[in-house]
Amino acid sequence: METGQTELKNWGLYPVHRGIEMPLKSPFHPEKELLFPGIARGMGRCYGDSALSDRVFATAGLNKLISFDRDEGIFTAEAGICFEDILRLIVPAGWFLPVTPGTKFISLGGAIASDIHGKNHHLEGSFSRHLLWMEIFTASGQIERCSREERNELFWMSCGGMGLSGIILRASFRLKKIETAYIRQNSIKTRNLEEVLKLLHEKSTSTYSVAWIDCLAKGKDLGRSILLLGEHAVASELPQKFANAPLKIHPSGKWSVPFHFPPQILGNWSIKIFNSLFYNKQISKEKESFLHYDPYFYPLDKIHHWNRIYGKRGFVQYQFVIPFRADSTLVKIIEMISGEGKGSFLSVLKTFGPQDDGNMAFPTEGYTLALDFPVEDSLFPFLERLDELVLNAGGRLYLSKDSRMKAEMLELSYPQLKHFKNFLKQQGDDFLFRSIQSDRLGITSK
Amino acid sequence: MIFYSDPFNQTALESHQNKTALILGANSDIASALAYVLSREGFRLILCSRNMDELKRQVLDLESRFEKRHEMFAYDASEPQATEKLLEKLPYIPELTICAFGSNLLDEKNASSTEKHQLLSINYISAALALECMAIHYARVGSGGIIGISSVAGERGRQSNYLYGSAKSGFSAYLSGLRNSVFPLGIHVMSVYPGFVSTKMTRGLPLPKLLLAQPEEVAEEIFNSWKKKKNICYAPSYWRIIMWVIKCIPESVFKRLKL
Repeated sequence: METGQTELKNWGLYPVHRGIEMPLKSPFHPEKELLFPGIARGMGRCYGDSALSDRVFATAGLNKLISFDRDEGIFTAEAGICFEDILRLIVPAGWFLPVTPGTKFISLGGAIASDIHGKNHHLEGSFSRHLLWMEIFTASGQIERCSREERNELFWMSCGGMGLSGIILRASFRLKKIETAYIRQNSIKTRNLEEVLKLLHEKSTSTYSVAWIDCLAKGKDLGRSILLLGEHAVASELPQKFANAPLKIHPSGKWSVPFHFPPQILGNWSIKIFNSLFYNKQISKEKESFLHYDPYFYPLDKIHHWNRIYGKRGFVQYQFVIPFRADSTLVKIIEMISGEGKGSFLSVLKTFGPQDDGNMAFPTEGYTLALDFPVEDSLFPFLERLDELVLNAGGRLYLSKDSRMKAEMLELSYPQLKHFKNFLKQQGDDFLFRSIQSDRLGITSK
Repeated sequence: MIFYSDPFNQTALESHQNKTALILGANSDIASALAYVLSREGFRLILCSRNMDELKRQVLDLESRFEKRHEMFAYDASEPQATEKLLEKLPYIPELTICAFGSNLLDEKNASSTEKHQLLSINYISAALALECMAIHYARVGSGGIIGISSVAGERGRQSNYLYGSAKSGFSAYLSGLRNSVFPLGIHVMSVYPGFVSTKMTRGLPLPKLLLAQPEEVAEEIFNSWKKKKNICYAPSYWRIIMWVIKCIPESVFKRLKL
């Protein structure tokens, strides 16, 4: 059955691409339809065009659990399963995701293809570090199993491989033991960028660390932030009010943004007020509190369709990483953003630890900053100026958030790209798996 | 080792702990969502369908989630003796039977007579025969329960799918008669009329997005209605009102409508 073309877009609502969505029905018999080029798509939570193509293979129906070893903490499932669903199962059994991004609405396959990172990257690496094996439907027309020991080239090409090596059908990964579903959070208010960078290094033994940074503050306030440090709370320290349900899971209800906001609402002033309120909400310098994992890791999941606040044209999330020695570039970039008054709600700053072995994985040692910008005509030339700074500092951009980078930038900033391209060529000259991103960036072209 | 316990409904978990259910047509999206709910609530299940690969996926998923053993059996509803044969094979006969199989056609008008015959036969004849067989068994042992998944399409025939609708209408009439017949024996029969649900069966049909429900919400509605011993369950429940309005339209007007 052929479904018609529909308008496809990912979380940033930009760009929009007309394509055919093919739901994958069974992981046992990859279908004939796959012989047309396209790309796998799970929850559509990448921001840009990574999961867009003339044909997308929707994995949402491949959401069954295969096994969950409650003693050893090993979780095996089909790749379309959503992290939200995984949490529902593992938390009551005393386990947690080894690495989680800022939303629980992503698929397992997407997590692998993006080699996602979380607030614990500086200590615990990206998702691939905890991955045991996976099964991929490759361009050969076969389902191939790969791991560190078996077909390890396919394995590492697929971790962070943006789905270009094939469709991930099943995977198994190791969970993290927890005593409670709560996080002991220590939030520290910092006056400026210098202070927050210093603290990020000083507090690098903290399991989770991330700073919400007000990118619109200028002058002596430049880069003022709230640094959030977190540890999984142990049962003995849990406050009385949480103690009777220490392994409570997240609630399912949530608010929703029912329509696209008109562009006027999200003016510069509203962002300024919001950022200012957020920064000034905390009066004391340092505050300790116990927080459920849901508001700690996924504060925005509470608002369904929050991406609509940026209006119909959507937004671009710009996330880069630069080496620690390039901290002066970081200052320059934040100065440029506050100088231009380019609105970004709370931006996220954190440190990455050493790179994992995923060939095209984004995280590498240094500072990473993620910023949201509503799409407007003047945005793209501005981002190109940022690109230049990032590139000169030896940094790079995150493909799962990208929708506009130039091919040259990718080539200069990802040294392993050549290796990746060669690998894909060996898989088949005609690039069965490709996205409009991989075409734009020249990854899937002859 | 900490066992999974359902955080939503502790009491239900306890009260359904030793219950059992048989699901015929277990690979349909509504049935598999219902299997999830029942399994979560502590039921032991016997899942039956033609496609064993798909059944295995489902059983593995439910078993690893809720740590309870379920059985599965190959079952082809289009065979007249399918249910009798199945009953001989079952290790035990569950106290609740859910008849969830069915099929539809994307384009009824241009279908062949064979396709039309299959459509009418699976949705009505096979469904009624399957439940006849179960009802006879339940009547003999003097207890049991039956849920039949019919459709709002059976409430009034409309131009786009009246073949499917008429078969479901027959099945609905069957269910109401059966309810009447086994009531004195203490056997409860519930008819389910799902509205537009986003499933394999409806994929590709031009259905209004606003009224399109997810199989998961339909399954919760079915289970809650069953607990309340309802006779007729519209899922989602607002379809009761929609169908009331649609049934009120005089035929002289209805025949001119493009529904």
